Amino acid sequence: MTREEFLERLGDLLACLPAEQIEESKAFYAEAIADRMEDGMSEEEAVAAIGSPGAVAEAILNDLPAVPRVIAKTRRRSNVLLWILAIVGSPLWFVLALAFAAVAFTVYLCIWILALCVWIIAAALGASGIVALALATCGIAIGNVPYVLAMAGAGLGLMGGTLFVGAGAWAVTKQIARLSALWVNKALSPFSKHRGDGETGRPNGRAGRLPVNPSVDGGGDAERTAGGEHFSAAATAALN
Amino acid sequence: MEAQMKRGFLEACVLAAVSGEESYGYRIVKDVPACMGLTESTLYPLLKRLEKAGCIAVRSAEHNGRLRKYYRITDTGRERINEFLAEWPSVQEIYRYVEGARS
Repeated sequence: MTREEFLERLGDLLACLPAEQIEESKAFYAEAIADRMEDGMSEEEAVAAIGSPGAVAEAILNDLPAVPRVIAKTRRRSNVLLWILAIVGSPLWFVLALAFAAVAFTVYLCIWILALCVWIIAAALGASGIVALALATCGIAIGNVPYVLAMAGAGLGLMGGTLFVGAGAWAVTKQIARLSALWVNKALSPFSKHRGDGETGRPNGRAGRLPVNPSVDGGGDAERTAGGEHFSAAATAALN
Repeated sequence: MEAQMKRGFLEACVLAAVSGEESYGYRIVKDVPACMGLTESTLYPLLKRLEKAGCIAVRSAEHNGRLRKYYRITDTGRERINEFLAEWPSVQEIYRYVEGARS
């Protein structure tokens, strides 16, 4: 096979990718072949050393995130097949997806309602505290000292409780918001490839995206903290 | 070699290959120890991944009347190498454990 034939075949096999990515891949392999020829190989040998265009294309497509990869591979066989599968399967996948989304939404809502409960308790404590203090001022007006002391004590105690529960509610809310961001990244993970294939939930959109791929490049912090995990390949492989 | 493990090793090898002076695809393939069995089809996605993660910097330069891409390690990449090396004690520990269980 000549260099040109190889590159043309590779381009055909990657036709499901965006044009710039195809060009980039072809340029990389053109360079690899040219470097081998400079190293003394014949064109035939150099092309053979790279491997078959099919294997090369496979390696590039395998590096895509799960969902774009399946779409790309199905589309490579036939675009019509992809649409037929999507439409014929729609009574099944659509209903399932809907049910799943409903359950996920409900669970999520419940979690926020729990947080809301904590806020309500804090608000109730605060309101009772204010009322108690108001009653204490009324007590001053009528000059009943034990009553004023009791009410002022109760009021201050309630205000303290408000601050305590309020701080807790704030912390819970922050935690839930943080987890929400994590969950969103997890949920979108089939669209953006994680390093270590889901071994660590890392929001890291990888090279080679298809247009269908919703970008999740957000969560920078999580990405950085998970960075150390990358090379743990050796250790995790053995531990798992 | 186990796939996950090999992936981590390959990445460290490629980073090491570009950590001195800058290097290019074919040279990286030749430089990396043969036991890793690195080929261009493995190298290409790997380089893109490393570039995306900011571990290597890429530039195109002319060579013999054509463009060639040169890769060089960044500080992030050096950090990666250090992280990789820092795992050696735990790998050794596992090795000793497995070896000890054999006898």
